[in-house]
Amino acid sequence: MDFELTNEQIMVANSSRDFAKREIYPGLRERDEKAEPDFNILKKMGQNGFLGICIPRKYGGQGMDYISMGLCCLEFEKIDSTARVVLSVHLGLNSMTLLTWGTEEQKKKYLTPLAKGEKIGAFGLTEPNAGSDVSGIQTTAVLKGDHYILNGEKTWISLATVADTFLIFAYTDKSKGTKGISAFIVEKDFPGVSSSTIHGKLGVRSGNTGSVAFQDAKIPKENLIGKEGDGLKVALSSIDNGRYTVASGAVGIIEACLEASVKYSHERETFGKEIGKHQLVQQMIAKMSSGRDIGRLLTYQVGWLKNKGMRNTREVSLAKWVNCNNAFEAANDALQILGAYGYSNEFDIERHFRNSRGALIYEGTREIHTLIQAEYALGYREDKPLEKQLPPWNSEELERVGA
Amino acid sequence: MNIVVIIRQTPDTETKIKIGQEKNRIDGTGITWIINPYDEFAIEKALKIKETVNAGEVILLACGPGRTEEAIRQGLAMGADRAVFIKDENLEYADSFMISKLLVNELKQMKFDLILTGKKVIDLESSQIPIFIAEELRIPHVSFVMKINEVDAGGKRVVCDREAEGAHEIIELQLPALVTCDRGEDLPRYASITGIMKAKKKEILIKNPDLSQESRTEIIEMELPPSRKEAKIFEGEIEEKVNALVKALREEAKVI
Repeated sequence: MDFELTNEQIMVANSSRDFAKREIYPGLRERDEKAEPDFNILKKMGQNGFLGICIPRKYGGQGMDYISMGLCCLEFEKIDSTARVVLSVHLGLNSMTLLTWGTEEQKKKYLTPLAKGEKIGAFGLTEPNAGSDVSGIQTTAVLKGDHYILNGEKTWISLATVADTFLIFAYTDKSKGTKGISAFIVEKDFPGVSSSTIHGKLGVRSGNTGSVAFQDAKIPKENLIGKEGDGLKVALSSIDNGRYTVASGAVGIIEACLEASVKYSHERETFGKEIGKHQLVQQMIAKMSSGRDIGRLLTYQVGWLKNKGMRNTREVSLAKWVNCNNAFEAANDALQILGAYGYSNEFDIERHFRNSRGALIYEGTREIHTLIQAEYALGYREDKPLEKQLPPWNSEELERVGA
Repeated sequence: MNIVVIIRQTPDTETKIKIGQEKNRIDGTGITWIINPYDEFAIEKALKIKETVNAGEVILLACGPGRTEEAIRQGLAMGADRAVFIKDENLEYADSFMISKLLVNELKQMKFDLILTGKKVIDLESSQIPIFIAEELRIPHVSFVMKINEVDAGGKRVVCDREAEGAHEIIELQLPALVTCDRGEDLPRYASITGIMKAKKKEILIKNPDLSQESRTEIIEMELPPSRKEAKIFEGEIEEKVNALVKALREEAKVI
């Protein structure tokens, strides 16, 4: 067993940290306050290779491993959740799904421009009346000649109004229940596709979130992913990757909270000593410290499983559940330690507090993950063999560079 | 225009330095190593020049123990073309004289128009090596340069801007020359993911040092600077305060 990061992984972490500090942090407080996204950051993420970091080079990506990708999520979210959300959606949920399920033609046409950062990808599963219960979706797709006709609405879609392509889930045969759900690649410019922005979010305020509507939208037949009825399987495999990005990012929040708390605990004095000497403060610091290490270990484990091409549904759910709970707790405690300063947006903690709350809802609610873990332990849930597995990381990618 | 950038790996500025058991060494455990920040400014300036004249190579040159390779890779990921690495574990505590000699030997075999490096290293706060090298190579040298204003694409001359006591000195140098770099306007670029991948394929030429070349100085003992005592604030009317201050300077601090 080897816990050491490789030189490349360390460099990715450094590079992501520098990028976040220099390109994301300046002006962040104002953007967050006014709920204004900065799409220039997206462009720069593309130029620097972040948007295709773990996609093989033959599809225009950088060919780095999944642990590097997790480290990138961690460092981004340590500054703010917004850029990590971009990686979750564009890379975790969309690109990695195309890599797993796409035909060669679909990969060439859709995955390559995403990996190069030339186009932006998003993911549409959630609907106004369907979140955790996927079977509740109401969007339908009917095959007419060479096209599927899509009708319905997706909501809480990150990057809704900037994405060029979406992965959209719809019933092709409602009578078959979840086995009648299918997945499609939908371009924003297909006739009948429109999008709008959601305002008034508690967290991730400088991130673009919205709804996408389909009114007799025409989707070419060849944009079906897998076969008709594969939709749920596609969605579940996407989620295994999306959850990894969220779990990794949550560690970034814990680290940010811990660092701010330690610094403040040394600076601030009450009752004649620095507050770090007070045991109740120490308890909060100790909790954050354990959250950080638990978080790193759980996510490294998932990254390692992904690198090997091994199933990680249980492990990634565990990492997402534990880390997001710990991140919210860490933000809550850090806010307590910083007192009134923590309550003000002059400091970063209140933003982490608001951001971390969302992750108890998205990518599987806290409750869903609790149930998943219990069901695995009790033997009520068993993994069936996967039809398609995310390809393992090919370490030769590193050697092939420049060829 | 071929530019050699001499780099050194130093502990991160945020690392808490501890003195080792032997007293004349720092405790290496838990140290995060980085490129000496001033050398990073030099890399940035070199890459800028290369982008401007659109020709030649940026070559990193380092002399140190094996761990230095991380810093070299980082520099290559920023965009340097290749590197020459004088590598030996015994170089961990080589002094400025020895390192200078080894670098000079190597530079004599290299083709370059310009040598850039940091104005100082942040670990031992030393800034002798560049001057030593320029002297040994018999080339002109200018230190503490904020900005390189002009570079002649033909490789004949370079114009530098250095800050001197609140004013600016503009200095023209005949090439080949050596310039030591201060921060200046441009922050060193961060390595992009693409850059990190490309760096994997870039050549690091490993050289064995001539260890007959020896250090001329030896660190006998190190100690941490004393922790700063709390400031004393004098209260009262201005006259009382001045009197108390003068008294304290005379009797306690014994400086007047």
